[in-house]
Amino acid sequence: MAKAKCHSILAGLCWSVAAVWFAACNTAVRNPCLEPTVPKLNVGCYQYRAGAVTDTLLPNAVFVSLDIDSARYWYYGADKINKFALVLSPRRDTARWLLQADSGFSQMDTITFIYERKLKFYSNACGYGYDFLLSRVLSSRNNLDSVTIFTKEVSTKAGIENVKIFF
Amino acid sequence: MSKYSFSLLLFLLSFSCIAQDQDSLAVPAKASAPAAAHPKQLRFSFDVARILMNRLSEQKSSYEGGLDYYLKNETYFTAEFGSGNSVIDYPDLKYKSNNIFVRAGIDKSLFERRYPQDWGMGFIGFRYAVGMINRNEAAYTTNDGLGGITSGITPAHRFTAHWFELTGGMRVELFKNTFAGWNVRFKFLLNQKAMGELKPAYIAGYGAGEKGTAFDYNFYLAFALRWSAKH
Repeated sequence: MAKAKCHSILAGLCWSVAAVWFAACNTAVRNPCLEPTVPKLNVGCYQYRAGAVTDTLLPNAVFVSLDIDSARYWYYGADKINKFALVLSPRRDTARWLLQADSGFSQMDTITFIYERKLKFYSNACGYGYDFLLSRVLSSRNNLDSVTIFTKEVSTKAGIENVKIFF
Repeated sequence: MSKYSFSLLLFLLSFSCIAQDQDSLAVPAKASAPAAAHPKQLRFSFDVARILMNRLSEQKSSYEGGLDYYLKNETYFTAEFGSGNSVIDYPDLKYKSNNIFVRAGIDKSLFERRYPQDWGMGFIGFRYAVGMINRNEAAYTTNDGLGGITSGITPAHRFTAHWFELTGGMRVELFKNTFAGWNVRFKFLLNQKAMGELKPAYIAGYGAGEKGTAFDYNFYLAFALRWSAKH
């Protein structure tokens, strides 16, 4: 009988240790955010040549955001690239970007994106962010030919081209 | 990690001790209770692990208790209840939530009792659970990638969550009428969409509101009332 009581006490002690162990392992901390929360406006550059649309690698491209306190270079001297990822501001309904295809000599163009904003909850780990819906794109035509919207929804999904720029 | 492993070994060791204990107490069934008497038991349980977790976590707290009643054929009706709250206070997201919940279900002992007073058990069971959840207004800030910060408030939300649980565990009678035991639970949320966009980080009785399935455990201390009904 004494042996049985000893076993009961030992079982109780082990049970208590296990309770502390599980409790210590279950204190919540914020999980790391493992997904992008800033949607990118993906831009592709093309040429319309001999009845066909072909990719155009810009030789020394410059993209500058004009809608912050001072002009901010987003791409500077990007060599032989035709895909660019820009951002839109959730504080405004428009975003203006300056584009220079070749920083050495080509003329500058201004592209204005007009859009709607939509608040989006990602997760408790990542918090809130915004998705956008493009409604119009305006541009000057100093060096480029035209700008068209290809996919209106600007989100964190990968592999989507939103705007095509033709030179 | 090694200290945790050692603790786990101690935990597992306790089961072998319990088995020996029951072997040593084994008494022929005919010697103890009259055949006509039907044992009855109502057992009250309280999850003591929650108290430890409440001490260790600044974000959440909860309390759980329950009772089970012996029906027949080593089957128990079980009802559990509890409440809890969580405080999310991240730099970019702040809100509070609280909830109460009720669970009801059946536990079935996997082992036949070795003598009439043998109320220890290893069991499996299921639960259906309902939780009433209240999330307060949430304040958020976002970074637009250009260094700009936006902030706002999303409205409060009340909703009812339903979930189903598969559970298993053990109860060991440490002293007369006093039990210790544990449950592991696999939970399946049945109406996750009802939570809206901002799902609470913690729902007492369930776990992370963002996940459709959850794993949980309980460590119970329990006290039993017993009597015999003669037919």
